[in-house]
Amino acid sequence: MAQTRTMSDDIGIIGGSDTGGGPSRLTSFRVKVAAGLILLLAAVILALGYLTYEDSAEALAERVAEEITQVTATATLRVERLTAGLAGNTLALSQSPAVLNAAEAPNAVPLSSALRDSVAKLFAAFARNQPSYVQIRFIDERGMEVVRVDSSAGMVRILSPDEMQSKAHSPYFNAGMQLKFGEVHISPMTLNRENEKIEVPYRPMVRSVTPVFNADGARRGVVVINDNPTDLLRELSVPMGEVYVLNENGYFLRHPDRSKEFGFDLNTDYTIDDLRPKLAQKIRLESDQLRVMDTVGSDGVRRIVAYQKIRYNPTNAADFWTVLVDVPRAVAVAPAAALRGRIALLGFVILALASIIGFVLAGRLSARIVSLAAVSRTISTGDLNAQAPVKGSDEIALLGRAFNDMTASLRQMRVDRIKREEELKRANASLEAFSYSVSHDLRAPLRAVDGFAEALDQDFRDTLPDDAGRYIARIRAGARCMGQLIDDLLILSRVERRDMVMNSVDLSALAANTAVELRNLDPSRSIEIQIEPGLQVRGDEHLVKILLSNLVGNAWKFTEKSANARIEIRRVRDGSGKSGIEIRDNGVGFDMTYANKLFLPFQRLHSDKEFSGTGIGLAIVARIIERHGGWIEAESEVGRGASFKFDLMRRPDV
Amino acid sequence: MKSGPILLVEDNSDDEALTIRALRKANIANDIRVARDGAEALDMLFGSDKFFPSIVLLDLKLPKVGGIEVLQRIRNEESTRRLNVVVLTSSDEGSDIERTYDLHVNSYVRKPVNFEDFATAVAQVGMYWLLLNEPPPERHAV
Repeated sequence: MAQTRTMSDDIGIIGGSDTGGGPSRLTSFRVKVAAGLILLLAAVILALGYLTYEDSAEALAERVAEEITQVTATATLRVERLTAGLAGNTLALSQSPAVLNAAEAPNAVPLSSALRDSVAKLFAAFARNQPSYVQIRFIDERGMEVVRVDSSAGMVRILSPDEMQSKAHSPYFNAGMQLKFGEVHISPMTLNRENEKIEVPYRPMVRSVTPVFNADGARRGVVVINDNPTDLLRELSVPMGEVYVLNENGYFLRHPDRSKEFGFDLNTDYTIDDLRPKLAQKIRLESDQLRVMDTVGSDGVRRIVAYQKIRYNPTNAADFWTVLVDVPRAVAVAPAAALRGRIALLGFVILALASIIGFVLAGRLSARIVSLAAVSRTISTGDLNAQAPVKGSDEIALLGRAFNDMTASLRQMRVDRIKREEELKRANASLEAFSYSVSHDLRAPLRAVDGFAEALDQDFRDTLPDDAGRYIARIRAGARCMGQLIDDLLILSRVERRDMVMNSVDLSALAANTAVELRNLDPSRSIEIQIEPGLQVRGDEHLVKILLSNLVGNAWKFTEKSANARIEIRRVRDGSGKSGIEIRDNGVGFDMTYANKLFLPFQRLHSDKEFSGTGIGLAIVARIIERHGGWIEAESEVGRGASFKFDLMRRPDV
Repeated sequence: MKSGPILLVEDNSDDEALTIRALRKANIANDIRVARDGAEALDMLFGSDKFFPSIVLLDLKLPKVGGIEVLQRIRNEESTRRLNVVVLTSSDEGSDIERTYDLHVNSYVRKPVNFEDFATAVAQVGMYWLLLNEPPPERHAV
């Protein structure tokens, strides 16, 4: 495609470039703003929710820990009260007058019914008073039951003498017979056995035993109270969690699942080690202090646990029970989780509202930007009177005002530009009119001068003196010279005005044409013209032609007087990579001292006598080079020819 | 030799004299009628005592009515549409050349400053158009 360069190209403020803003983009902007707002809000709500949850969960966990500490302490107290009461009552019965009287009875003789009755009455009264006492007995030194009162569901029964059993081999009897005065043995808790068999339904049993002495200090037997602690054990409870009671071997005495209790009696062998091995270890090693901890169990569940040991047997410190309270942390902090749920719900509602508001706000914002974009597009089509909305005091209004300032200055610039263009047009027009009239009006008188001088010479040659003939010749030479000058000036002015059409130009062919034209003008000249084939330049063909005809014409002219005249046209490259077209001749050359005047109009380095010329040719050449943005340089030595190197492209900086 | 008159449209009396001299020197004996401006030329071609010239030698820069306009009228009128018109002018402005060729001028000759060249040009024009070229048939407006 041909490229046309004109002066008006310099000013190109208003381009029709597409701003590229489609409605879909704007929607996405709107969504982006809304989404950003929502994300921000969501993050805030999330953070708030999390912090609130963590905070309240921590507080709740602490509160639960305190609560179960209290539950543990209370449970411990109740168990201790049970055993203490049991021990106290056993001791009291063993030292009651009825029992002491019975202890004074002779050995190996059945007790008198009176003595028996008074003891039984006492025991029955106690049993009635303490519903958990299921048996109160007096056993003689041989291990034979002497008095026995059974109590079940509020019914107290005094057993007859023939219902008495021997307990000589019972561990509690033997343990009791070993005790000193005032000592009480409290047995481990086991399931009750009748006739060596575990009674069904199971009844856990704790036995309290103390010896009975007669006045001589001899052991006459023991008083035994059987206590069924079921009610107490079952009463131990904690909201949200579980209360366990263990014996010293880790067997459960209380477990929410009753089948897991009394593993040693029922041969299930289920212990705390099966439930919480790590905790079991801890309990075994810890002191009797009440412990509370927030821990992750072997099952991976986080729990809050509290436990305390109870040394229930005054006569054997190795016996202990453990009260263990266990609350899963998740359950403990469930209220916080509920709160979290409510926060989430609230957050969702806020987010929904925020989305709507954000979308609407972003929509308004984007609508304003869209209207600005529309104004901008209008402006880009060249309508500089379009006004951007400037309502409000925010950034978009500011942008709008900046927009309007910009269009105002664009309007001013356009006015200025149009004015300049008109001035330029006028200047161009007057230049054109000038050269047109030069073309016509300056030539006509010259032609008259030359024509009539010739007519004079032809028609009156015979009558004119010789001098007149020579003067006529001078008149005609002057006229022709001026004609040439006018022609050259016109070329120069046209070179100036021409709209250049840039193309790839076959310089070799143009040079060859020029050479042919020159030879036709003066066929008598013997001259060698060498043209490198395939020389290409990029430029305006018409101007390149003028350029060549001037440069080759000069070479032709200045080799006129040389023997073996020769002109060379070729591409040359120097060491620094500079490449150009060279036109070299072996003519008269010129003095480099005046090289700086070479390309100025009307500057001649040779007299008219030597070579004719107007002094405009190289000015034309220079102007053509200049219009192409190229470069030219001349080199010569007087008598040794001249070389002109040029290129139509910018010279690479070296 | 074709006997029709030559119409020379030329406002400059020097050029007129030189042109006539050059034609006579070239032994062209046709009657030469001169119009000194465009209006006069049009009158001679379209007026009451109009005539059909064998050739029109037309200058471009003319008083009253310019040469381009004269050419335009000649080409627009049925009676003169085929006239041989040779522009003989000092101008070698590209725009002038383009416009006259657009109006189907038969030749465009620049008047050289140099009289010999001028005489040669005029003589060649005369020889070609009057001696060698077969002229168009004369037509009269209906």
